Amino acid sequence: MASDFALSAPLADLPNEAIVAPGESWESVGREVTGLAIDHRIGARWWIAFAGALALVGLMAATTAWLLIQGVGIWGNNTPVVWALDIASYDWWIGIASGGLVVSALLLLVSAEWRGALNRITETMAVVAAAAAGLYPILHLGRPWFFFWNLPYPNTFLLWPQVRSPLFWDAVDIVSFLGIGLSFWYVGMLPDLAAMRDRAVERLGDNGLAGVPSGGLRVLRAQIYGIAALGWRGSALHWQRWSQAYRVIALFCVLLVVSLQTGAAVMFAGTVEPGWHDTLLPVSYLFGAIFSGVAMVAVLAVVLRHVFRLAPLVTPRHFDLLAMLLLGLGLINLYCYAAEFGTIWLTGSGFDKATLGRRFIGPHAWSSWAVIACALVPVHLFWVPALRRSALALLVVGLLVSAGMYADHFMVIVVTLQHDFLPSADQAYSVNLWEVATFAGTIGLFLALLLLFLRYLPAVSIVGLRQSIPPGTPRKAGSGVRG
Amino acid sequence: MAEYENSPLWGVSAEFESADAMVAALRELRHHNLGRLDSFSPVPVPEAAAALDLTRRPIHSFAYAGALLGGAVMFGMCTYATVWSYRFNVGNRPQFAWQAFVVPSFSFAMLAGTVFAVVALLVRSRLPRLNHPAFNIPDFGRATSDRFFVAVEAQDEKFDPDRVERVLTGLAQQPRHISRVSR
Repeated sequence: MASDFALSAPLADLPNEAIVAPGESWESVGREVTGLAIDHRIGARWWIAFAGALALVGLMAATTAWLLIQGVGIWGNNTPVVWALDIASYDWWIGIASGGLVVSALLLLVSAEWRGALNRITETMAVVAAAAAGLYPILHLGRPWFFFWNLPYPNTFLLWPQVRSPLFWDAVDIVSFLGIGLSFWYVGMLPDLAAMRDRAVERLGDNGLAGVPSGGLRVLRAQIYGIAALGWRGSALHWQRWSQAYRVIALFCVLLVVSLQTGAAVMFAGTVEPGWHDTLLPVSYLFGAIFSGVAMVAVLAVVLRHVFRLAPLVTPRHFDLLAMLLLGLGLINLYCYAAEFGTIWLTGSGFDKATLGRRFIGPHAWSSWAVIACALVPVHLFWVPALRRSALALLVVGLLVSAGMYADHFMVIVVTLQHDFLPSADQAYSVNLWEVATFAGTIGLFLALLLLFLRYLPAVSIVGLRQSIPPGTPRKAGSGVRG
Repeated sequence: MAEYENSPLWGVSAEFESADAMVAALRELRHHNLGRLDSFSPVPVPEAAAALDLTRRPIHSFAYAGALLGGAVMFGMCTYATVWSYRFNVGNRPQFAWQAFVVPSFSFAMLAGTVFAVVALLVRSRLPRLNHPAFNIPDFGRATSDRFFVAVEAQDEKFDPDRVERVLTGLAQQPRHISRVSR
C-alpha cells in the first residue's frame, strides 16, 4: 500500500505542472545536455573536483597496497567481529546501487514520464556504486589475488566452489548486478550517444570556441561517440526493438534486485547469530536499499542541478516527487524496524533480546540512535509541502538518510557479532583508521567515475526529456506547460 | 553531396517537422507500395511502427528464453557439482540441496536474459553498423534532434523516384525537403 503511494500516486494526482521548465523545446534540451560534455563549460571546477576524487583514489591505492602486504589484519576486525566496516560498506554501496537501479527500472515500467531528467544519473550512480561495492568482497578475502577461486572454472585441483554457500550467491549476484546494470545503462543511453555523435560532428566546423578541442581531437571525439552509438539512426525498427529491450531489461533489473537483497537477508539468516532471523528482514533489506538509493539520487540531483545549471530540466516538481518517495520509503522502513524490534521484544529468545538491548545501550549504541535520528526522523519534514520543493532540504535529508543507512548496516553486523552467545565471546571492537581510509577510498572511486561520466557522457536522458515535452514546442514561447 | 553524385540511388527521403506529418506520409506511401519504407525520429513513435506493420515483438521471446536457459544452466551446474562431480558429505546433509541453488540460479537467469535481450536488440536492429546510406540524407543530424524523416528505399529495377516524389508533394502536410539519396 505504502509503495503504491510512493510510486504511482504522484503520477496521477499531482496538479498539472511542467515537468521541465516552460519554453524548453526538443532542440534546446538536446543542445543543453550534449553541451555539458561537448562544450564543458565548468572546466576549472570539474578539474578541482576530479583532483580531489583522484586524491582519495590514491588513498585507496595506498591502503590496498598495505593490505596486500600486511593482510586484512590492518583493519580493526578480528574474531568475533570478523565483518566490520568492510562488509557494512559493501552492503551500503550495493544497497545504494540496488536502490538506484530498481527505482529507475520501476519508473520506466510504470511509464512515469518525469523519470527522464533523473534516470541517467540514477543508473550511473547504480553502476558506479556497484563498482565501488565490488572491491570489498575481493579485498576482504584475505588473499584477494585468489578471488577467482569463488568462480566455477576448470582447475587443476579438480575442485568446485561450495555452491551451497551464500558466499557463492554473493559472487553470482554481484557479477549479475554489474552485467545487468551496465546493460540497462548502456541500452538506455544508446540514442543519446547518437545525439552526442551528431552534435560532435556538427561542431567539426566551428572554430575559435573556448573549451573546444582543436582539429584532430575534435574528429577523434566525433569518431569515439560514433562508435559508442553503434550507428544508431533512430529508425522506426530500431526504436521498436529498443523499447522492447529496454523494458524487458528493466523487468530483469527489478527482479534481480529483489533476488539480491532478499538473498542477502537469507545469507545473514543462514548463520546462527542472534538478531539476523526475523522473517521480515528480506523485505526490510530490500526497502532499506531502495531508501538509501533514493536518498543518494536526491543528493546527486540537487548538486548536479546547481553545478551544471540544470534548473530548466530538473525542476521543483522533481524535488517534490523525490521528497514524497523518501517520505513513503521512510514510513516503510519505520514499519520494518518497528515490526522487527517489536517481534524480538515480544517473542524473541533471550539472546535476541540481549542483542536488541545492546543495539540501544551497548558500546555501539550510537549506530541505532543514528538510524533513528538520521534515517527515520528527518524525512518527516517532507509532510510540509514547501520543504518538499526546497533543494536545501532535499540535500540535507538525502545526506542524513545515506548516513543513517550506513549506520544501519553497522548496527546489524557489528552489534550482533561483537557479542553473540557466550560471555567469553564478548570482545571489544573499534573502528580503526585503515578501515576509514579504505571507505574514503571507495568514495573517491565513486566520485572519480561519476565525474568522468559527467564529463564525457550525456548526464541527463535526452530522449526521456523529449518524451515529457510536446513535440514542436517553440523555444521560449511559454507553451511548454503540459496539461 | 557532390562526391556521391555518380553513385547509385539508395532511395528518396522526406523531412518533416512533426511526428504526425511523418506518420501520415508513411501511411500514404505504404498505400502506394513504392519501395521499402523506413522512418527516422528523435524519440520512439509507436504510430510509425504501427504504420510500418512492425507489430512483432521479437526481443521478448529471446529474453525470456535466455532467462530460462540461464537459470537452468546455473541450477544444473550446482546440481552437477554437488551430486555427481564433487560429492562432499558434511554431516550427512542432502547432496541435492536445491533450496540453496535458487538464489544464484535466479540471479544468473536475470543476467542471461539481459545478455540475450541486448544481443537480440543488436542483431534484430542490424547494429552495430557505423555507415549506412541513411546518413547521406541531407541534414540527417537533426534526426537525433527535432526532425522526422521518411525514406523510401529502392529495392529493384521497378523503383520510380519520380512517383515517390509526386506522392510526397501531394501530401496534406508537406515535407520541408525531399531529396534523392545515393548509396
